[in-house]
Amino acid sequence: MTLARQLGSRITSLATVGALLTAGILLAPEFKLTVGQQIPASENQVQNADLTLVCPGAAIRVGGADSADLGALDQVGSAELNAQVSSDASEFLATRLSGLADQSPSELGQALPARVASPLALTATDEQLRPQGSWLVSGSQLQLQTAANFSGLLGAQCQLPTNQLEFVGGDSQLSRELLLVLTNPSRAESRAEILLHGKAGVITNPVEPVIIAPGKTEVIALGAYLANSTEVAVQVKAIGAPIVGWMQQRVMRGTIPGGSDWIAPTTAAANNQIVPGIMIRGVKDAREIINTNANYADQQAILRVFVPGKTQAKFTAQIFGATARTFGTTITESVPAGAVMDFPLSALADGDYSAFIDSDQPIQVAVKLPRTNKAKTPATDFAWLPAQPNLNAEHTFTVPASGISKLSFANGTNEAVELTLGTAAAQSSGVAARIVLPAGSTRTVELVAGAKLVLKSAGGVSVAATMIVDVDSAVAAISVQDFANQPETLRVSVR
Amino acid sequence: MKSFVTAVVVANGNADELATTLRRISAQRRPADRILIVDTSLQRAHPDPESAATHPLEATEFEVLRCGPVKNLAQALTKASEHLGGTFASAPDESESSWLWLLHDDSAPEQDTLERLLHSVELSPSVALVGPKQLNWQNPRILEQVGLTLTSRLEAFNPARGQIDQSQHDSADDVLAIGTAGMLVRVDAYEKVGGLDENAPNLAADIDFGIRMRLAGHRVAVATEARLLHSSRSLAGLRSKRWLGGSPRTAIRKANVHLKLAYLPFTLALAYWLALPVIGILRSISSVAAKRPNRIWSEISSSIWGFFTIGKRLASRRKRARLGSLKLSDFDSLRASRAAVKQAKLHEVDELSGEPSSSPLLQEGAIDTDREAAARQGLVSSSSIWLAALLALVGFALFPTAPAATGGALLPLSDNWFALFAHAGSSFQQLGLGFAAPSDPFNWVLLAIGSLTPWQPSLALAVLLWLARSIAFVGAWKALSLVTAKVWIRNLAALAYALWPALTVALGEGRIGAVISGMLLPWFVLAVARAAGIGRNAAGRTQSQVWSWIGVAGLTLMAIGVSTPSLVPLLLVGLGAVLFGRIRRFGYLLWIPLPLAAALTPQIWFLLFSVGQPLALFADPGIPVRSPNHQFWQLLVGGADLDAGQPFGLGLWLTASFILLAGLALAGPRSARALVYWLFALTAIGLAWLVERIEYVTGSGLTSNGSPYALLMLAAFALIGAAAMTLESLQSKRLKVLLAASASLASIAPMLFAAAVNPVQVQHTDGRVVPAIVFAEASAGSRLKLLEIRPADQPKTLTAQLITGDGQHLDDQNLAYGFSLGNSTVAEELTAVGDVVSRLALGSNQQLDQKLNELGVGYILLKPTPNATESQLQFAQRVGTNLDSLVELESLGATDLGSLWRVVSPNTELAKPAAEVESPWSITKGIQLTAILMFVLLAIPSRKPRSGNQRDSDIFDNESSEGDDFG
Repeated sequence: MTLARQLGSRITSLATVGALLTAGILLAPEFKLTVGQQIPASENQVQNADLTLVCPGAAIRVGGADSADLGALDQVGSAELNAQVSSDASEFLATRLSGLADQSPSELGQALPARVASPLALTATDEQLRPQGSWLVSGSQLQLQTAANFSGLLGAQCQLPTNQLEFVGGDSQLSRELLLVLTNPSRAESRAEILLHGKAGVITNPVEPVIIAPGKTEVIALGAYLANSTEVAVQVKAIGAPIVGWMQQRVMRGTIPGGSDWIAPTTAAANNQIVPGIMIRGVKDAREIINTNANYADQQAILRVFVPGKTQAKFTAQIFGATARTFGTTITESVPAGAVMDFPLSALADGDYSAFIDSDQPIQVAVKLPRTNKAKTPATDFAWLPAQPNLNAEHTFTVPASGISKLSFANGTNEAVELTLGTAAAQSSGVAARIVLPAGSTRTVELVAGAKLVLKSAGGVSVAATMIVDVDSAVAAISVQDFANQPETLRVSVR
Repeated sequence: MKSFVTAVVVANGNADELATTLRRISAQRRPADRILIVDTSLQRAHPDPESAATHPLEATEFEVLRCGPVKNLAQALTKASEHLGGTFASAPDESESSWLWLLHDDSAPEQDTLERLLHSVELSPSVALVGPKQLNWQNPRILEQVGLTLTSRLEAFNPARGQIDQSQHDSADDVLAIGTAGMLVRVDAYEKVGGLDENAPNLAADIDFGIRMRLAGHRVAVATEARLLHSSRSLAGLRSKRWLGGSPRTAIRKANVHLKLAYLPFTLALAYWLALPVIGILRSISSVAAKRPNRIWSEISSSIWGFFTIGKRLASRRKRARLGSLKLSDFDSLRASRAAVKQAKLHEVDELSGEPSSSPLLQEGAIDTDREAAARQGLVSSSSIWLAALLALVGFALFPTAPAATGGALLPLSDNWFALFAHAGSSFQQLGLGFAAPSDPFNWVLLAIGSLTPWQPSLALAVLLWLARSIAFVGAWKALSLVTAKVWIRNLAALAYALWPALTVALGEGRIGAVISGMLLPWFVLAVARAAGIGRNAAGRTQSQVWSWIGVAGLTLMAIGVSTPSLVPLLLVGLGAVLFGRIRRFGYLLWIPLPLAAALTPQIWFLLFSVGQPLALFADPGIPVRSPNHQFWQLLVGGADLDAGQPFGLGLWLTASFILLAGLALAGPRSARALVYWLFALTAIGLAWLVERIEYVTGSGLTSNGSPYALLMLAAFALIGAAAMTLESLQSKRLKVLLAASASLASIAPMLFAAAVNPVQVQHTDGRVVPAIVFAEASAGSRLKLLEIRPADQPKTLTAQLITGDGQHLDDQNLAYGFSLGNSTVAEELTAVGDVVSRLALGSNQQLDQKLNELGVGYILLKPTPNATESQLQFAQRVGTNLDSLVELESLGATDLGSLWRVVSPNTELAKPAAEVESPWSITKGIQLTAILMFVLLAIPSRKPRSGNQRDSDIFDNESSEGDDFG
């Protein structure tokens, strides 16, 4: 090969590679070529588990009949069950849970019992894919305790099991017994992690997580962790099976029973909260008793505010009366983050009220409703009114057969709400009572004992409500919540 | 008494040699008394007027019998006999003094041949059949035949063929048989034994005739002083296949089959006949092992022929039985000894001549027959093996601390070899609810790897990962011997290859396909080069060695192709260039893609015609793992993101010095060759750039792009080859030292460091991919499935997978299934699974038992999402809670792989072991396995090197050839 050819070959090689490199580096375009078919995740609308509501059963007694047996824990007496099941339910099952006893859960069949001693699960099945709620099954229980060491009217709405329970209410001062009662209605185990909050924030004395066996009830005496605490809020997180829970508050004033109550979970933290049903009675009697005995100092209405977040909340609570003769009051205060604080509502005269609370931070609230009647023995009782969520457009409930029941509405919206209240038959025939509730107002109506009522909101906007039951000057609050069980849509990518 | 000789010449259209034969017959000192030419050719039966004048048969003075095509020599003689009045004798009563002298058209006697033959029978009247010493027509110094005999296995044996005639066989006298060319037989004896057997194949007819003469009490001898030139056209394949009944190989094999069936004792013959089909297959396999794949068809067709023509063999046996009381064993002394047979085999020379290349590219320096001593230095003798050990040390992060490697693109292999075998080449996949589609061809590679440690297949894979760099180094070191003989250059270049960033990344991410290709590419290049006779030390390969390299090339191409299908087009183009560049070896090289074709065909068919996604053919098998989209220049320098977290941020430039050296080759003395290397490298890089931009969607939400790393390794090998050329071409020793030191400091040392510290996603586990209880139940025979659920990235979204109880292994992955998820049947199944998953996740128990039973679900595993967000954790918790609350399920608690639930009342049928074990076999699997095993047999060296002074690359040396070739 001649030198010229060699040189030519080399130059050609260098030029070729150089050109290709330059072309590759400078001219290679960006693009994307897709091969194969993207399969979107399938959307599956599925009914949640059958709607199951759980009632707590009879009141829990610590120490036995004479309060002398320190380790004894039992459910005393029985509660009146006021429940209903829709005829549309394809199946219904009442199951008596183990509760505190060692027995296994037992199915009671399709009939609703009149009274409940152990925790009771009411399960209704609807085979159609539609929202389930109070129209399918609803219930509450009411129990009047008149023992020498345990008095008061205890009312509770039967709950839908959940994994998050938050309580605002109760106190653990001397002679105040505060129990956290957690029931696991499912077939799976649940582990409850409990966080206590007091005036100064989170209680540093931790509660060991509680394992709740299927069907069982666990009772935690919070006094062991909240020594002499007047302000209490409790957060329960259930890991595993969902649970139901209440706090049971029992008050003793020396040897005199001072009342008792089931404290229901409150609504989730929000900037706006509504507490209907503040039916103040016996203010004059209460003042007189308080003036003569300091042990009755807690026998007054209070607003309790808990700030679950990490920022101090400034709130304004407006207590509105139901009539023109009942003037309310307004409180504007701040609560540190994580703390629980009580604000007395001592300015309120006898009458029906609802509290509307606005806050710059999410808060949780409750109102303690005292009831004092000097003429009775014991003369006092109380009820904790948790904040209530707005009801759905239609809500079904049963009025307790005992006592005088009143339904307190509170319209926290900015527009008037028109409601109709009556039996299903009355609703369908158009003869149900019509109630117009202006924006920001409250109203109380008395209910017929034992009636099965349907509350409808004409425009779809509804109100918050609480049922207050009075039995011989003892008072109980029964939450009026619609435990909706919506079909859910889940997306699944199957590979 | 005067002998009467009738010479019969059987002509079969061979004009040139026939003319010589006829001329020699005319010139006999003792001429034949009667000469008859039997023309059996088709053409001569209808002479062509133009060629008629020149054809010897048109000009001969001898009598010509134009009988046209006949079946065999025996039939030609029958026709001749009929033509002559029914006998070859001068008169019917003079057969004792009459002789038949049989000649072929390619057998030319010397002037005194007949005279000497007659002289020998005069001296020995008991001799009724005598033959001349046959010499090679083209080279009369070479013996063609000095009598024929049988081996101990009753195979025809020509003890003298191919030997140089040094009169070493001139003492031969009595023999078992002689060839028909030039044989002189007494007519009465001929007629008594019935002449040549028309039922015997042509190449057995002579031995058969000789034996029958012996059995009839006649002597058969060779008159070595009588000489005849014989061109053995039949054995050379110059006669029509019709004449021989196939190729010469087939004819030889048929002859042997005939002899066995005709002369074995009856019971043995019967057993042999019954076993013939199996024998045919076994001998075919044996042919492959002996690097004689061209004999496969001969073996099979001959066995089939023997099996279905048993009637004719039995007729031959009857013909033989009528001859008298003598037995073949009475003539054992005339049969070939084992030593003689062995000696004859050693004489067979099977050497391919070094043919010139037709490609200028390949001629220019690529073919270097200069066997330098340095090139013979082995890996051990050059101490380069220590560098391989160093690379294993550098890969300490991949050292298998537990039996199975997992993470990145890796999953463990099936826990037992049989499952691994069942998955390779299968036609039905246990995915979802079961899916009829070919398994990934990659499973054959996994099977091969897993077979190294059959008690724990994953272990071999883990060890392979660890040693990948060392294997790549050894391969590159050997392959670079094609370019340079200098050990230091091979060390430097092979190190660069083994440490190339693309391989480091692939190893770190567990991209087993790219790793396997990276390891095997140099071996493939070496094997193809050796098979094609390219590169240094290319000449002098024996056929056996070539076939061995063909075997290696075929297997490595298959392994590379199925591991990284994106490499296939470029490798086939390269192979095609070699094939046409070495056209004389076309017949060998053409076989290389066979195993790859066998492995890929079912998948190609499925993806093309069932899925309709041609580009899916290039998707990487295994777990889809996304790789970043690189710029062209980034791919050029190695395509690795080693700069992240590496010291000095120079990770991308580690290869720069080698690319520079490769660039210098363009200006060197072999610039044209360097240009080819560069073009190959740039094409590979271009394809890598393209492949990265192809998004493969294999199922719900599973999207990954093509992996460029295998293509980058191919580019790296080409560039490193060019760099080695630059170093090889340097004259100045100082410059060599300077460049080598620079490359070591700028590239090798930092690449070693990067290889040692590059993050590795691969972890080592016990290989279990499902909770122990599920695995135990599956091991006990349960066919219940495991439903794996995991929160996806999107809110309220789950990913789910229905898998067999023993879990999802690497060999369970299936591209065909992934690309088929859109088809209606599969989509319907997926919807059913999605519905059940939704019900489970939301705790809805309506008809749940029934649906779980329909899907055959036995367990539900809620797997944690890697790097889960708070919302994913919450969602997982909610799902777990709902699963807890279902009465249809029983919580088994947390396992190492997630939370597990058991279905309380699973499908009872599936919970029991299957009544019938499913066969792992299918037609495609059989074909694929056969092709692979054939190439494995080819690849295995048939004989060890004869001495210790063999070069490393000569791992396949001389082979033995089969002993049934005779003439």
